[in-house]
Amino acid sequence: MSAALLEVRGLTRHFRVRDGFRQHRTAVAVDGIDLALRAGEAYGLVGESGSGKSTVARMILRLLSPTAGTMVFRGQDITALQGEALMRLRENIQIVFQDPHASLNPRKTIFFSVAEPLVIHRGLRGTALQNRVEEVLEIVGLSGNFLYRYPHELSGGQKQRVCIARAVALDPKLLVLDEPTSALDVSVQAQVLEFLRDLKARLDLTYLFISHDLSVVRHLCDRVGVMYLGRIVEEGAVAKVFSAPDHPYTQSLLSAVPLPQAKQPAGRIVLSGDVPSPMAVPSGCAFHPRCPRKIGAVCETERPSLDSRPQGRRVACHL
Amino acid sequence: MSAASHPPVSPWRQALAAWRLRHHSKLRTMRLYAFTFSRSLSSMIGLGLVLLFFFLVLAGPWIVPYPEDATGSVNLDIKLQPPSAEHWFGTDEVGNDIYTRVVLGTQVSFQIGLIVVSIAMILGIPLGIIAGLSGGWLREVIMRVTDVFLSVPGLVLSLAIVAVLGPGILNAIFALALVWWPGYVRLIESKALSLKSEPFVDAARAVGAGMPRIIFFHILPNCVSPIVVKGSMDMGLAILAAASLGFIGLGAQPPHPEWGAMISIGRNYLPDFWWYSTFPGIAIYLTVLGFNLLGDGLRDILDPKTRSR
Amino acid sequence: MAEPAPLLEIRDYSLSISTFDGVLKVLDGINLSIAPGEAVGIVGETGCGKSITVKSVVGLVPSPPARVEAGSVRFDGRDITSADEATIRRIRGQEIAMIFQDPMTYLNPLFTVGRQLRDVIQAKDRLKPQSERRDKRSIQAKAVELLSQVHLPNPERQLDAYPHQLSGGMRQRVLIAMALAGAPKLLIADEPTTALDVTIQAQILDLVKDLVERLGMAVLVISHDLGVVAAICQRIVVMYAGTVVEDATTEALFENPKHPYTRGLLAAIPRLDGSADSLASIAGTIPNLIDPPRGCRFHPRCAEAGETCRQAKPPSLEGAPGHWVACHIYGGGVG
Ligand SMILES: Nc1ncnc2c1ncn2[C@@H]1O[C@H](COP(=O)(O)OP(=O)(O)OP(=O)(O)O)[C@@H](O)[C@H]1O
Ligand SMILES: Nc1ncnc2c1ncn2[C@@H]1O[C@H](COP(=O)(O)OP(=O)(O)OP(=O)(O)O)[C@@H](O)[C@H]1O
Ligand SMILES: [Mg+2]
Ligand SMILES: [Mg+2]
Repeated sequence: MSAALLEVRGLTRHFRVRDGFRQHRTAVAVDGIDLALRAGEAYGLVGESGSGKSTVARMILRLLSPTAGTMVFRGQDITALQGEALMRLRENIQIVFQDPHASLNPRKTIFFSVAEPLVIHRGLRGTALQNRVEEVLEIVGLSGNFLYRYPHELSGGQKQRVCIARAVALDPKLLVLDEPTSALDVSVQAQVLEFLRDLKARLDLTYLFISHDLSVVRHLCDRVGVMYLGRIVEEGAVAKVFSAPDHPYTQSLLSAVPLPQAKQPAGRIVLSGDVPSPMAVPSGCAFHPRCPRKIGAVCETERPSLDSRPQGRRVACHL
Repeated sequence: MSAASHPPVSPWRQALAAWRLRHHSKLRTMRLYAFTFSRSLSSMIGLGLVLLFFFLVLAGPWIVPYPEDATGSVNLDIKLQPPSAEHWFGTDEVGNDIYTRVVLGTQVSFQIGLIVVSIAMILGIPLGIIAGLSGGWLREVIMRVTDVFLSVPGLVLSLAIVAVLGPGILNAIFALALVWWPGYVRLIESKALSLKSEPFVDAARAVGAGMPRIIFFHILPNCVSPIVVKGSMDMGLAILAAASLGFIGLGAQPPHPEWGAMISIGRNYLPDFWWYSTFPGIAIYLTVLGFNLLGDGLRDILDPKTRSR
Repeated sequence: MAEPAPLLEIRDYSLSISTFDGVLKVLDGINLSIAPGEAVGIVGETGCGKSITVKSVVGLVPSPPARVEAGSVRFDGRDITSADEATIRRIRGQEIAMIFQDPMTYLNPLFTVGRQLRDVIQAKDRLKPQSERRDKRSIQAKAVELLSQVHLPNPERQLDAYPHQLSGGMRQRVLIAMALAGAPKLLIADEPTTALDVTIQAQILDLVKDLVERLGMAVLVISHDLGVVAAICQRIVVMYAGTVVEDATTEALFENPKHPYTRGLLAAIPRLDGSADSLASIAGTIPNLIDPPRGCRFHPRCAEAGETCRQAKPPSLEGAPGHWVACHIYGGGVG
């Protein structure tokens, strides 16, 4: 494996949330995570709603500034890049969002949306622009017929392809995909997933693939990190983590997925209670109030560190 | 189909076809708007009234029988005559034709409405954008000032301003414009605030779009509908407000053909010479109604989500 | 087969909706039946008519623009196809209960959960004779009982909570509690867990399953997730573009899917155990319902379509007992 393309250390983000009248509380959306993406891999980040996945993505894209931590992309510290250097970074890291409809300006044509990065970074105009836009749409399997349509005239899958086209127009190195298929139907999702897999090989991309759908991550990714309340609790090769999860949370998450088959496996772990609010993260291991395998007081008082285990896995658990 | 099998097409035609291809979606949307709009009776009435109003603004000087009656001529021998074939709406206390003065009054009203609304937009929209996008203390300052203006009834405030500056049509316009902009700040601020967190704005930032680009290509185009709707409604309201100022003698001064001022003078001759106040009154009523119905209809087609059920 | 009389029976039901662009032929000859105490699932992709089917049955689709073109609906032995508004409303209140994807749209943010629950109980009571109506105390007790039935922790305390103070899973539980207030014979759940997290979804699925077994209610679960439906239902109905293409027991559907669309759907699902190497996607896109394909609505996307498929609408045939397929391949009609 090659060196890390993107390395994230201690990345943290707090939000001040208005709570009632004139009161503010701090929500810890992301709580000191370490991540290293290798060039050419697809890294899946899974977790339930509110676990901080999108916040991580937005910080890597520099759409949101971290409260603490550093991000290094191809050897360069990008945590506080500004101006020209930030523009160059934007050519290399791109993002595709969850809701393809909301991520296209409803008042602008498809042409405008796909052309925007090319106009900003390459200064293209006229026929050169037109040709390049058609070329990029070709890559995602859309014909020139779509150029002057508006987003509401396209199906969900087509819109998501347009978003992907916009993201790859500048030949980025890293593509962050924030739940790119969760708004799509199964058969459309299958198209987009297969296409993403193919695209990655063709354009030599690295993916940070965010999802709450474990099966999708299993299908597309090489490695996976499992997040719970802003922390990574387990990380490793997808096949390994999914077949033999170490962390009790990963175990229950995997066992909670209803399978599209006649016989549901016996002995499912159904967690009790809700995910705690990021404004009141439990002490010690954040998962301890729901953990079916809690071992005792350590879990309540001491935060487990993300320790390396054999086969390149990392687990944050006292077990 | 190959192009060769067809007879040569004129470049004109080709250009038109290309244009239609590019704008196919827009044209279709327009047709949908027109269809939806035309199905609502009240919207069509509104449109009709507003079109009539604009027609009178443009054609007024040519269609009125006594154009000089709007500029202060005196014909005391025919003063206060009831409606007749020569004077459809009757005549006033100096013998001027009321029909002529009501029709030419559309120009005055139009100028007032247009200037007030334009100034309000020119001030309000940028401030709203700044407040919505900046956040922090700048937003606080802009919005608090806006709140102060909005908390005092607009007409009362403009009364106070005109009282200080002295009566006159220019001062009235100035005073109204001064109280009108906060509404636009409010509207645009909330719109910009919600658009700011839309994924498509994030996507634009992620591909490197700077602030000006985001404002002009992403925020403003999505604010057009509410602005158009509010603008239409406000045309009517500004005309009404100007007439109110005219009525209490703080707006346009005679012999300027301004509806509010006409009603105000005509009031002294009620009820015997009813036509004097009635016709300018109807003109105000229909104009304000027209702009309101039009605004309502536009809201229904441009912004269907906010429609009342 | 000696089946019990169906609780809900929809026969050859066709529905159209007029819009600006034209008349949408939204449902085309739907057949669907649910026996008392049975759990049936409807799956299909977005826009295939799952929601509109059930909404239309319980009279929640305004007409016009909607119009029933053909077919009948029977509930509990009565024909309710053209029942008047009052009858439908009574059935909807008393015998059929519905829960939806987004609980917040059906809860009033201004009132406490308790108040809304008590209102529902009282409304159901009003349909009963005077003597059987409850007093204030027992309404309160009933509310607490309902909330504990849906396993909401601390039911007494939650009664004083406002909807926004509850999490998504808890709100869905409250909605289910409201649905149970009238002791319905049929519970319709339209995407009940789509907005929820996996671990919360597992809780709700368990709850629904438990209720069905305990109360002997029939349930109709709508979902686009085959896993969700498989977890609760004994029988699954697959819809495509306003038609029912296959109707089989859960076992038969997964072990022996017949319709090309069902097979395509199953091949498109990524598997948790990584057993699907590459996902097969169904070529083409969902048809336009204004001008749907002639014959079988799936034929333009079907690799196995023949001439008959382009011409004639395939009848729904019972291949194996209880396994209905609407496809010419199984009628010997492909040519
Ligand atoms: N702008 C913000 N202001 C306040 N809180 C925020 C903001 N953005 C995110 N949060 C909070 O941070 C936490 C993490 O949010 P995030 O969107 O990263 O979650 P996620 O894992 O992407 O969830 P989902 O699966 O729902 O997309 C949430 O509790 C959220 O409420
Ligand atoms: N009120 C309406 N007016 C016009 N068309 C409608 C209306 N309601 C539904 N439709 C159309 O009817 C079809 C079926 O819609 P329905 O809501 O039943 O889909 P669904 O299967 O529930 O999809 P989803 O999974 O997205 O909920 C769709 O094509 C939809 O566009
Ligand atoms: Mg997210
Ligand atoms: Mg639906």
